[in-house]
Amino acid sequence: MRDLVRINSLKEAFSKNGILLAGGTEVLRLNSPLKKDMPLIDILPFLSDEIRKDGEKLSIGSAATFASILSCPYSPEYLKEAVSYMPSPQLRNQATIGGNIASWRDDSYLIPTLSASGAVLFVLNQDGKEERIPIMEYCKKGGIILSVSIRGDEKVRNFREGLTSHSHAVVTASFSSKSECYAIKGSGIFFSLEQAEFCSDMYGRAEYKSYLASLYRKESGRA
Amino acid sequence: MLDNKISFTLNGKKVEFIGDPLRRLIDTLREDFGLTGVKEGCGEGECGACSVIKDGKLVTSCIIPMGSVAGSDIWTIEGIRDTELGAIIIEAFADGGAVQCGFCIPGMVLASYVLLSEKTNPSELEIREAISGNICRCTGYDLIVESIRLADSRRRGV
Ligand SMILES: Cc1cc2nc3c(=O)[nH]c(=O)nc-3n(C[C@H](O)[C@H](O)[C@H](O)COP(=O)(O)OP(=O)(O)OC[C@H]3O[C@@H](n4cnc5c(N)ncnc54)[C@H](O)[C@@H]3O)c2cc1C
Ligand code: FES
Ligand code: FES
Repeated sequence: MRDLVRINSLKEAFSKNGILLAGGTEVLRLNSPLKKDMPLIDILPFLSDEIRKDGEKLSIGSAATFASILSCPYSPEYLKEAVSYMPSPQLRNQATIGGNIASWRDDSYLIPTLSASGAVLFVLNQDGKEERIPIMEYCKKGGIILSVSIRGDEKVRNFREGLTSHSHAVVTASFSSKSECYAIKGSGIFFSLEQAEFCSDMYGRAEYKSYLASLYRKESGRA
Repeated sequence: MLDNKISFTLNGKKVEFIGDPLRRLIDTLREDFGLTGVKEGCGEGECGACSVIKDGKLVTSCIIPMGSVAGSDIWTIEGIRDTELGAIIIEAFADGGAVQCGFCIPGMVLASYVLLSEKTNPSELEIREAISGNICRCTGYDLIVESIRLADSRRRGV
């Protein structure tokens, strides 16, 4: 039987050998790849869901749900568009921005747009220290995401291709004048087209995925 | 520290659950409380058949652990059907021919209930968005959308 572990502080989470639990939409679904035999550590009570505006900067608590980002008047359009890629209102009421980033999925709803916008994460690292890191470093450094900082005035263009609104995307890509980011189904997350890898699988042939990524870059005006 | 005693409100009554905090809310509702209007389709947050209302919001009970239900206000179809709006929606679904096999309908009614509690005279797009997390394999959705409109007109008396 799997245990649910309650902690007294976020730092304590590192001393337990388990999987963090926020909204639970990834951790608890039937076919989740996350290890079923590990205990779950409930971190939600320690995370903020506040969305705070400071000039053009927006700080989003990692427990903010997709639904609250969508209904927040400060949320920039590019982020609202990416949040809407999650097609089910039920899931949007449960899933958190922190959980989405930490899942680092190859069909990620939010990482491409957040990365293209230059998002910075405020993270509690394994040594118990708080630090700010660009989102692209998160997959190497890890840690507990406390908040996400973005600029509301950044111009970002998003693209996503899936068979239906409920299907997993084949390619999700976002572009700003400074950077680009691609989530490629079957391969992972890439921060430039030149580094991107493509494989053939049930979602499509490698050539098809590569074509979509190139097309999106061209349409974004970055090519 | 493990919590295995969880108090919450279910269809307006205070209740207590003692057991595994990782037990799924759907299992507790169906097996412990006999609320079999909550249906299990996919078991992974995809189909919406297991929808319930948690603190005023529509959620999928198949991916909610009991540990996160503490202190919550949960409503299922069995509680909603006795409310004025719930009864109007259910009658409109029956009159509008919205039901075929019926498996998705409790979730659809709850999604409609949340929508109509928040909005009067919703547009077709708003209705379709509100039920977009609920999959129906039988109807093709049109009669469900029409029935939600009918429910809205009836509760406004037009
Ligand atoms: C039917 C279905 C389809 C889905 N399709 C997609 C999809 O196409 N694209 C996509 O991106 N996602 C998809 N998801 C996955 C999921 O819904 C989202 O990624 C969601 O945003 C995860 O957030 P959560 O709060 O529910 O995370 P949880 O399920 O609670 O956690 C997810 C992971 O993140 C870790 N975590 C959570 N919070 C933090 C934090 N603050 N700091 C560090 N680690 C943390 C957890 O340990 C866990 O490993 C789908 C889920 C379902 C049920
Ligand atoms: S059974 Fe819960 S969403 Fe399908
Ligand atoms: S009526 Fe059969 S699934 Fe909707």
